[in-house]
Formats: sequence, structure tokens, C-alpha cells
Amino acid sequence: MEQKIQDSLSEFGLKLDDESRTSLYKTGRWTQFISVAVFSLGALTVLFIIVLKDKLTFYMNREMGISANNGARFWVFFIMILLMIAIIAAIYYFLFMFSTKIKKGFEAESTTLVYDGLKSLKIYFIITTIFSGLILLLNLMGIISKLIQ
Amino acid sequence: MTDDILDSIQPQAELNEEGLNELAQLTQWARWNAILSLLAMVCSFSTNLYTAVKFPEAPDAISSFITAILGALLSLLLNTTLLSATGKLKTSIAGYDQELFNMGLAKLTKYFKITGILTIIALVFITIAIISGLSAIATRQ
Repeated sequence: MEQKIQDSLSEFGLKLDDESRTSLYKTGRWTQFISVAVFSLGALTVLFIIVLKDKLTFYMNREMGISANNGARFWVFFIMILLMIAIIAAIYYFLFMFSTKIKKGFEAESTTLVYDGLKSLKIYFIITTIFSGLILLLNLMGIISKLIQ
Repeated sequence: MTDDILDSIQPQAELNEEGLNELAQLTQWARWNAILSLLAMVCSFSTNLYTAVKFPEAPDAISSFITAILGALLSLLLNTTLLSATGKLKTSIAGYDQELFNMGLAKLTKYFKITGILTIIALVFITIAIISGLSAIATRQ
């Protein structure tokens, strides 16, 4: 009885047919490009800051009025940038994993890997949704402060 | 190459309960993402509009307003595409509609394609900014 129900559900079930597989594969390629671009940009920014450390410290002192004898402030600024890059890289890691798992899943004929890929994309959307919520909250606070003024 | 990889997976592989569950949750989160991003865009645009109307004499009023319009248009394009993709996927999962499911996945591809193109544009601008920054530093030396 249970088998019959299962069979009848399968008749109406969703399939990974040619069209959906092509879409998922193309999505994987774009997400791979996006994540690699973000990783490269993060690495470039860190390299840029390290190479131009002295120049940046000089301009920070001049433009922002940061005391020249307080070199620790540069490191606070550097660590903050590094932390931001680390958070962004962690988010895009899941996008990269999505593309890798989808590609491997297609190559190895493994639906488990494809599901793992979908799970990575879900985690990416969960984190970006939390950040979108925080941005919305900040914007709302901005509006409220403008209305109070 | 692409066709070879795509042909290697089990033809017409059925999505089981685990797959459908994962896809349903993914769809739900992506939908919330699009809705919250659209709301954030509306708030940000309203704030910029308010500032531009109230302080038109401010030196950066026009440029920041133009930037806000551009940002709002891009956000609208991206998030309506994501909203459309998730809407189709959600309905297709609930009603086991294969055609709608394929359309939803195609829309999701379109969303990431737009994001990818915007990434390329951003990379070009960042490269120009880095080159001009470096040349400005070199000129001052």
C-alpha cells in the first residue's frame, strides 16, 4: 500500500530534468565566478594595505587628524578591515561550495552532493538575509533619527 | 564539456523528500532576503530623497541623489528577479509543477547572472580606482 502511494507520488514528483540541470549548472558557474572575484578582491585589498602601510598611515594622520605617535590606530583600522573581509569571505565561501558541490554532483552522478550544494546555497541566503535585516534596521534608525531632528 | 558533465548525471533524477525540503527552505530564505533588501532599498531611497529635498544647497546633494537612484534601480532589478524566482519555485514545490520549477530555476540563474555582471562592472571600477590611487601616490613622491 505504502509502495503504491510512493509510486503514485513519483509520477507527479519534481525531476532534475535536462532544463533544470542546465539552469543549476549555469547558476553554479556564475556563483563560482562571483565568489572567486570576491576572494581575489579581498586578498588584493589586504595586499594593498600591507604594501602601502606607511603611505596610508601618513594620509590617516594628515586627513583624519590621527596622532602620528599613535601607530596602534593603524592596526585597529587594519584589523577592522581584515575582520570585514573575513566575514565577507565566509559568506561567499558557501556560494563557492554551492558551485563546487553542484559540479561534483553532476560529475559523480550523486544527488547527495547536489542536495549538499543546495544546502550551501541555503546557508548563503540565511546569512545574507540576516545582513539584509540588519541593514534595514540601520536604515529605519536613520529615518527615525531624521524625523526626531 | 558542459553537455558531457550534464549528461553524466542520472537522467530525470527524481527529487526526494530531502531534496525538496532543502529546496523549500532555500526558497523561503531567498524570499525573505529579497523582501528585506527591497524594504531596505525603499528606506535608503526615502532618506536620500528627504535629504536632497530638505538640503538642496548641500555640495553632494545631487550626486548622492543620483547614486541613490542608481542603487535603487539595481536593487529593484535584482530583488524582483529573486522574488519572481522564489515565487515560481515555491508554487512548483507545493503543486509539483515541473514546468514552473524549471522556470524558477532559470530565474535563479538570471539573478546570479545579473549579480555576476554587476561584479564585473564593480571590478572594472575598483581596478580603475586602484590604478588612479597608485598613480596619484607616485605623482606626489
